[in-house]
Amino acid sequence: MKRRPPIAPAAPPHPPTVEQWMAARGWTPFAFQREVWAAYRAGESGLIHSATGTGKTYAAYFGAVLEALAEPPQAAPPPLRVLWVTPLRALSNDTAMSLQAPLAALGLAWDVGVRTGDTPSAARARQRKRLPTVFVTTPESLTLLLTHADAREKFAGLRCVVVDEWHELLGSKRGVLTELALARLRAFQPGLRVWGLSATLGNLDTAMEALVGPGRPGRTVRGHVPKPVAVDSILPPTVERFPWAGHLGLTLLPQVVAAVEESRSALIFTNTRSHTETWYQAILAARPDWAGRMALHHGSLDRTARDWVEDQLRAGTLRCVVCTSSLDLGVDFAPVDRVFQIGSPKGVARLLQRAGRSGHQPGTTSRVTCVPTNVLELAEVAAARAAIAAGEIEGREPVGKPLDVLAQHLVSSALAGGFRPAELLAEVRTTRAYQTLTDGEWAWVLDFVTRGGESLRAYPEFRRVELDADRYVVADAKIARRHRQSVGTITSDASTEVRFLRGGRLGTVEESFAARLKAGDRFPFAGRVLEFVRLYQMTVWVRRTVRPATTVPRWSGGRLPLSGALAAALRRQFDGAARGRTEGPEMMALRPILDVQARWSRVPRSHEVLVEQLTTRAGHHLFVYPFEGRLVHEGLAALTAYRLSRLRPQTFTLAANDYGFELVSPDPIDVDASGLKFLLRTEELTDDVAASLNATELAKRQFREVARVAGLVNPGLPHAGRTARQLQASSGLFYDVFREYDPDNLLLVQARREVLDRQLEFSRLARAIERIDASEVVLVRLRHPSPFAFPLLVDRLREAVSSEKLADRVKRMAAALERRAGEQAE
Amino acid sequence: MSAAIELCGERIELRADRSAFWPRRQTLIVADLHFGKADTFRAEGIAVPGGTASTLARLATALDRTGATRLVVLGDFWHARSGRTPGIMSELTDWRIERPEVQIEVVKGNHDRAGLPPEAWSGDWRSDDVADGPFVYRHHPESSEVGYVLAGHLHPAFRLFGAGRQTLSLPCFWLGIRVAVLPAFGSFTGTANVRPGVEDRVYVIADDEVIPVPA
Repeated sequence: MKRRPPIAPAAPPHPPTVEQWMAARGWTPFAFQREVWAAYRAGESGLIHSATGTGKTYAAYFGAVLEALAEPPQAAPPPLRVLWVTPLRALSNDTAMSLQAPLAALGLAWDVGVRTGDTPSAARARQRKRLPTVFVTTPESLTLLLTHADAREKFAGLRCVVVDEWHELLGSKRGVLTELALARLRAFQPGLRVWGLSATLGNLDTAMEALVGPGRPGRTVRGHVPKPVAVDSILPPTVERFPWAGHLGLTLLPQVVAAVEESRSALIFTNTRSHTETWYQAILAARPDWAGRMALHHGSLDRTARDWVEDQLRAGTLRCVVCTSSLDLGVDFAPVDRVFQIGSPKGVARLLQRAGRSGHQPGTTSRVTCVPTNVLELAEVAAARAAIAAGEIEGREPVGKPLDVLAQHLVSSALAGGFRPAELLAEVRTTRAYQTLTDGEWAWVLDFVTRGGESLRAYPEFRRVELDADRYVVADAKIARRHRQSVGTITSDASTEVRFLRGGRLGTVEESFAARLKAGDRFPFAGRVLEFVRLYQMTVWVRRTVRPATTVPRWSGGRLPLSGALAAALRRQFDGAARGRTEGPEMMALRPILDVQARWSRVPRSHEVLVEQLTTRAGHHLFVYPFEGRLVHEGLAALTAYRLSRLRPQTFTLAANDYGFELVSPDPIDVDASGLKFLLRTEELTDDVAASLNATELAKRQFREVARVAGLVNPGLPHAGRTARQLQASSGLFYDVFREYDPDNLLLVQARREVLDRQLEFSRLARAIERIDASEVVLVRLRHPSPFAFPLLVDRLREAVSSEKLADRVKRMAAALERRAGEQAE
Repeated sequence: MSAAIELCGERIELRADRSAFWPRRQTLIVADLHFGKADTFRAEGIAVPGGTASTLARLATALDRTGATRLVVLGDFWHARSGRTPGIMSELTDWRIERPEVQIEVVKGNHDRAGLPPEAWSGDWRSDDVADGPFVYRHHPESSEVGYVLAGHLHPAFRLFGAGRQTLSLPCFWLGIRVAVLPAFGSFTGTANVRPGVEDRVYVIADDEVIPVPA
């Protein structure tokens, strides 16, 4: 917010107005805040978006506050009036504090309360009697509250719902859960005003539609005009012409440490939790004197440790914090004046979001410094900067009618005093997610939660939701209790707690990592090197050690693919380079690589798709560079190999990265430019992609989430007795059983669709194929691996040999190529 | 398909249907049937199809194929009390009555606290370990003074690591120095990965084959 010279207001005889209250803090309302207040008064709903910056909270909140100030004052707190939905329970207490802050001064007798999974039972008991006037909660806790029969009365006085960080919820099933809750609240209160707070997205219209419901008016308000964002890079002193993924990493450590030194307080973002641990250890080794003034933060650390880090950041006592996306969201850390991004941000919005974590001091810019872990990532930085300048930001696609969430919602609705099918169907169809729900799909889900679906026809004793007169209800208290315990859509991988032998809790690692540890193994975690002692009662027991680590924990879901917006911007960077226009320090630094690429092969223009062929001792290689992101390339590689092998029996080894993919075969790969276009044709795409990828095995894994959300699999509940243990079965087992007895089960269909969408970004893959079809395929025969090909060659090797030997082997190969490029240049 | 091995001087066939056959004694050995597991889920309002029928049918096929005259169940006949539905009781009764000539011995497992078997099976119930030649049949895989233990309880599976970070978990026979653990025979039963010692033998079941793997 803008600062004015502080003025000392005389003690007002009446409570101050909102503007006076803000002025006392040196703030003047922004135009967008006034716009939202007026729109709220006029009964409108809407979406407030801005890339970075503050002011959104009070823009959304003061509409309701101003409305109350215009009413006769009340002595006691009125019933629930403002509902604040936040995706992160960690944010809820901070949010409640900022919502509480102005109330006393303004003379409003409102109370503010929080309800999340962490809320103590005493507070819950109070809330069962009465909800506070301003209520901060998560989508899951809101959904849970709505399963109670008295929900309609509890929410009777509700006037305003604010959904914070809507962009975070939008692309997930949590967003669908929120849509369903909003539909219920609108059914309670037709005049309800709903406001969303969001980062700027490429598809704001969709975000609005999901928030207010299709066909309903909503006002889009652009928030605080962002401060200029400066994106720069730490350039490597020398540029190898044959870069391979990851190896650059820590070589830029001295430069990073020097840059941190220049700043007051810095955030160092990495893309994975394991990188957080390794960078933290490396910085500490370089600057042991920073011990106690630096910290690390990621989602697997114990909550108390994370809270401490956040408090210290706010207080400005930390020189730097190494973190993951766990610090992307949330309240501002004013002292932070510099942000680093280790490795490519992989997305434009993500880089903007992270940049916006710095520069909250007045008059400063947000500055983010990118540290490439692979020289080619410099091109991604240049592309991201260009995309930011052009305002090209990714959209978030909402999830379309997931039937597992609907099944859960039906049970929730049956719990909440029961439902009449026609009424509930009408309500559900007011959401964006289910607006196209067919009568057949509805009937299937209703049948599934009542009779267990077609396959349970033989078991009439089965019941979950049952018909009582004209309403569907849950009659069994056990079923009700279990459903309430498992409401929500968040599924996390089975994790194991890490504790010191003396008892201190450190956080969690994945079970699969824990299972592979042997006594004496040492791994970095929570900023320390720990020695594994034993795995006992679902806990990894460790002790501290001063010896170096022998292994690094891995968490799944680490690597994000290049986003569509950034991929398009990257293709333009290379197009510029191909036309001899090298602009900006990053592309200048890349010149030596691009020169070799141009000399030995080609730097593709925007309308071209480069294909390289090469024969080595390993076999015959085909490299294709669509620049569409790793997941799409994995799908394209499998598809190409599958279609090729159907033309002629042949075995391939595949590799893919964000730039392209590689096929290797012991036999020659017989394909020309037009043949390649034929291989990547759009006909029968879905079937061929599914067939090429052992889709069954993948769907089985995806079914884990579907089965959990639909209420088939019990999440491991704390303090569960023997009954719960008797109800443990893996989702894979369910998948097999359904496939045997009920192959048309729509939840299986959904699992298969989710695999295509999430594992392969199928719709993006389809668009990529259309683009390739409209492009010119340029085929080049290589004599040596080109700089673009080299990382793919290395990636494939990585799968085959152990990492240490790999490093030596790769270095030798790079040196040989480097010599050859040098000889040719002379 | 099956793999023939030697155990305590006896020839034993490890079968891909997750049973073991001892030809000299015409004995078929299975572990962990978990009858009524799907019913237990249904009783709690969780929609799982399927029942006892497929496990019973597989058991019948295994008896027919091997020509076994004797069946040993290494515990966990039942899954839980709430799964002992009237339907299951009558299915199990019919199955037993159709095979009066088969001698059956069911060693009790921890899940068998669920209750007694149907009347037709009552003569088959054993509450203690059963010694038989060099072997001892018991549910829990703990060694015995009396002989080499054939046990269940663990639902063992073995995890194989392939190229490209692929992993595959397959049900297995785990043969230790003093104890062998059979895979769970029941249709709707899960598995748990085990970590065999270097001297153990492991045979994984891959579709219709039984394959020895280095432990």
